[in-house]
Amino acid sequence: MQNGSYHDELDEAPILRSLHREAPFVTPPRFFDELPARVQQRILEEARPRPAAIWWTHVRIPAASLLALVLVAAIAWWPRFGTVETPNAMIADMELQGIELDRLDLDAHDLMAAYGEDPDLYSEVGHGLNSDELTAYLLNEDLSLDQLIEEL
Amino acid sequence: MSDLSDDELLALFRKEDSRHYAFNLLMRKYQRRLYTFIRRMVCDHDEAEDVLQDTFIKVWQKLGDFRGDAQLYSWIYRIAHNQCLDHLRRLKRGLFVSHDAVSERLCGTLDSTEHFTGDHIHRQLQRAIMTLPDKQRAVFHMKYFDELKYEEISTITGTSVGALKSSYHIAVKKIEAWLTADQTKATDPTS
Repeated sequence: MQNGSYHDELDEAPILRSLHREAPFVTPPRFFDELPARVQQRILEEARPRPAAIWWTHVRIPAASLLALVLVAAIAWWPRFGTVETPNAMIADMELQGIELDRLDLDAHDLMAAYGEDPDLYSEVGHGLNSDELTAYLLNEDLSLDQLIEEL
Repeated sequence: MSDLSDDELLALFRKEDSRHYAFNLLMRKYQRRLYTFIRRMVCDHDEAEDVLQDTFIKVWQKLGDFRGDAQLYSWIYRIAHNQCLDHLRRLKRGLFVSHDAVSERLCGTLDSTEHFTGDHIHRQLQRAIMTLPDKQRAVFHMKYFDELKYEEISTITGTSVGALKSSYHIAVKKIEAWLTADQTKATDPTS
């Protein structure tokens, strides 16, 4: 850095051209003496494995195995979650959701009589379906009672 | 201060038992120049120290891969340049504020003689530099203060020489206009 050194670009910048270029910044005492040691310290700290990293190295394989086991169990048991337990529960659920049984030309009594009380039929109804799926099906298909029984 | 050449430093660095010693010498050789560049970019000492330390950590991590395609100093300067831009970007993102707001915050120490020894015109010059966009500020510093050639700046910034010339030309105009306006205000406060 030299004072007043010449740049073509500064032809039209007399103020910039006239200024000296020394850095006017102040640093704390001994800053440059101590900086290399501080950086070396950081390098050593970053190279040292952290306790969390060591802990993780030991538990990662058992944790991954456990997670895989939980996933497999969840997939195996998934169809059983949320299935209809009884026809009464299904009807209550439908009523809670504002589904008008009248629209389907049946009432709770009809529904129960048609398939709810029949243990064989009930096992067919409940199999693989949860209450939401069943109510959505009933709503969308708008089946007559006979068709409904046939479908089920 | 180390009298060893860059090649000698690199040879020492490549030996396992002298690696830390060589790196220490390398830091002592370049720390002042890098600090001045970074301080001009971020203005504040604490921020400058953070960026400088991060720069040296990066140099430590990457120096083993340095193949001598460029000069060592240009290569280190490039890392410092990128660290500065990353740091400024993080500041803006972290504070959710504009470039001007960040520059104003960073310039906060300029009025304190504890941090700045320059006279009024140098203080105003630094304020004017801080109004430039980050990349243009870096180009201005490399050309005006460090007197690097455009080709060297191009190696450091990865920008074409033509674009650098335009950027520097515009920066000079802006800063000169800023300083002229400041002088006019000082001599005629009514204007």
